[in-house]
Amino acid sequence: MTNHLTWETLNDLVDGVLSAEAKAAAEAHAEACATCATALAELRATVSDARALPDRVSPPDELWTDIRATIEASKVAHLPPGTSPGAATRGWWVTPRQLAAAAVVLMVATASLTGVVMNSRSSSTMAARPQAVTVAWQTSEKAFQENVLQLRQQLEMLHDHLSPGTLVKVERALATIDLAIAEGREALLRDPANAALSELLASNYRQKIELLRRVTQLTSS
Amino acid sequence: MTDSQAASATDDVAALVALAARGDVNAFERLYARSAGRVYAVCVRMTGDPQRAKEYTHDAFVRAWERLSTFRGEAAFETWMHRLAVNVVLTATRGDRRREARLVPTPDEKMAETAAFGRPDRDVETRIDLERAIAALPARAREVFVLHDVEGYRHEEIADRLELQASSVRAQLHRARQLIMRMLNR
Amino acid sequence: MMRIPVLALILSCTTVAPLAAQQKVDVRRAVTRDVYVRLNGAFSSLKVRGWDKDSLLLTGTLPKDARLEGGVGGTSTAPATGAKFYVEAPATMNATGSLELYVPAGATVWAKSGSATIDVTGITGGLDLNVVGGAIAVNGNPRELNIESMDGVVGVVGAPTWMRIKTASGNIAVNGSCTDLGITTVSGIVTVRDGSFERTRIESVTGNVTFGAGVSRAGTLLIDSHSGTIELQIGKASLDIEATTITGSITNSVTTRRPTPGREGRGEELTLSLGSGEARATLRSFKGNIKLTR
Repeated sequence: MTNHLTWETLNDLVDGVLSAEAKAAAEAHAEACATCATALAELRATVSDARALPDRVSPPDELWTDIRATIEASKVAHLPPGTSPGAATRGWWVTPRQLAAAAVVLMVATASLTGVVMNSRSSSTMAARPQAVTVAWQTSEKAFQENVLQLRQQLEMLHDHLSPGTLVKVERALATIDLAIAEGREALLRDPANAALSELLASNYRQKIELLRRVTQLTSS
Repeated sequence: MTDSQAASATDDVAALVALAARGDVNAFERLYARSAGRVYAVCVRMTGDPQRAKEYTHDAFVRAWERLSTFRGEAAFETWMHRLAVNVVLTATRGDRRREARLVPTPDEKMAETAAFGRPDRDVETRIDLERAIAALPARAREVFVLHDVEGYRHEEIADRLELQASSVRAQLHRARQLIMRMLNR
Repeated sequence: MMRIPVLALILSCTTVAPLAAQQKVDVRRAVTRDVYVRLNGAFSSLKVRGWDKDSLLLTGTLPKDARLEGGVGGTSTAPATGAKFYVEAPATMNATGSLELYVPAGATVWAKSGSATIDVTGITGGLDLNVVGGAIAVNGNPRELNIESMDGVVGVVGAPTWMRIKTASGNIAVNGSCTDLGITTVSGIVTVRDGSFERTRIESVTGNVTFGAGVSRAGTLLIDSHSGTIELQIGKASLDIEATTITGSITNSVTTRRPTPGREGRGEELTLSLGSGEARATLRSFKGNIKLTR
């Protein structure tokens, strides 16, 4: 047979959009033509495979932290009752907005660094990139550290609302994380293309953000 | 799932939506846990780019948070989120219609791995190749293919969403399938 | 903050009866099967029990000077959909109240206190438990379980579908199964055993992590630690394993494969495929050691 079904007809047949007459003619042809029968079967298999793809794909683990940070930034938490009015006048709002900003900066920093690492294809490219990566990382990190410093200053205002025992626990935990961050930073600056190191450092930063968030919520009900 | 379990799950989602609409972020996190896989799947397949998919998934959930009070429960929450995500992707890509056709698959290990470990599947190798082939399609063809063959939208619905003629949707779909089959050596 | 619907919060029964230095608590009310209950404040012990009745019972004892505020929403004729309780105690008083909360198994319970022991059994709905110190123990299969603690220890036995546990220094022990598990700790010791886990992510700074449970087919396990030891007890698991430590060492007692030096000659890396390798485990440590054992 030299007259085969057109590609459009094959697709319309699979999609069930041919008229009854055209459908009957196409099916009759496919039964008699091995080439068209094969093409039809392969097209059906492709469509079937597409339909059978998993309807869920796990997003990156850190995505929720990012979303949460953005959502929290859209809310403003007020200081607990009893906080001095002066504080409110100066606009010393509690954590969420700056926490979110810190978290977003963190995400951008880790994404930019990891993105460069994942996309590097040649040693010459890698040699050219670390300089730029380090600059980008340091810029983001500086902004992150400034935000965290401000957060800690704001947390000072919550001291009266947290027990001394709790404060000790919090400071101890933060000190542990800070030491880990310092060690990770130093290592990453020596080896900025190290993807595992980047992920580990990002994990420590996330822990710090998360701990600060939880501490501020200790006083809320 | 039995009828009562399904009913209970629906009530539970309604409760979570109600809580989240009042500002309960933990409740929203639970809604995220239930629907993020579905949303990310459609974003990553429509864009072929895990990084953009992550951004669009982020935007979809932030938008959902802002509009929770408009969710009336007439559809499943996941369906509502899915529609929202498709809107986010199509709005973002509306200004980016001209792209070079990419006939050579660009292996994206991360996306393939993510797709591969999403859920147990009967034919892992076929699925990874197919995901890669979809990612390598030209943008418009990919959008049409994903919406029709993966997500089950009808030609008319796709035409409406993409602001195309139905005949153009058909043409893009046929082209997408042809390209995919070539890439899969079928 | 949750708003209780309808007219006013109603304390349905006598809640307090002076009894020497203590006062008894007794709140009973018909509630829906998926009632949302919020309970926080100054109590030192809380037991939560899921039961098959369509009612809520809050009972126990509080110090004489403490006050129980809030109550159960709704009207006197329809089952309530929400309840909110707050225990207020004078600032100088250490929390000593001891409460028991019985709710329909499908309820969602949110509980928060400073230093308290929270013990939950038989809940299949949702749980959100928050302490600074003390201990949290959950037995059963809640659909969703969220636990936050500073140094309170956490123990879960059962099969929650979705579980998040966060501590600063509190140890965490999970025995059972879970579809979606996330554990975050700064210095707590983490142990996960028995059962099967589909998607698991564990992050620790200095706490040691031992994972001795199964990973579902096509599941993922990710463990990150700065200086804590990571031990993966493989058993009969079918796993693709990728282990990396920046300056630590990797010990493989499962096969003869030896780790290779890491980048720049520091640390070690090991890639291993066991069985059909349908699940994937990624273990990353900065300076902690990684052990693969049977």
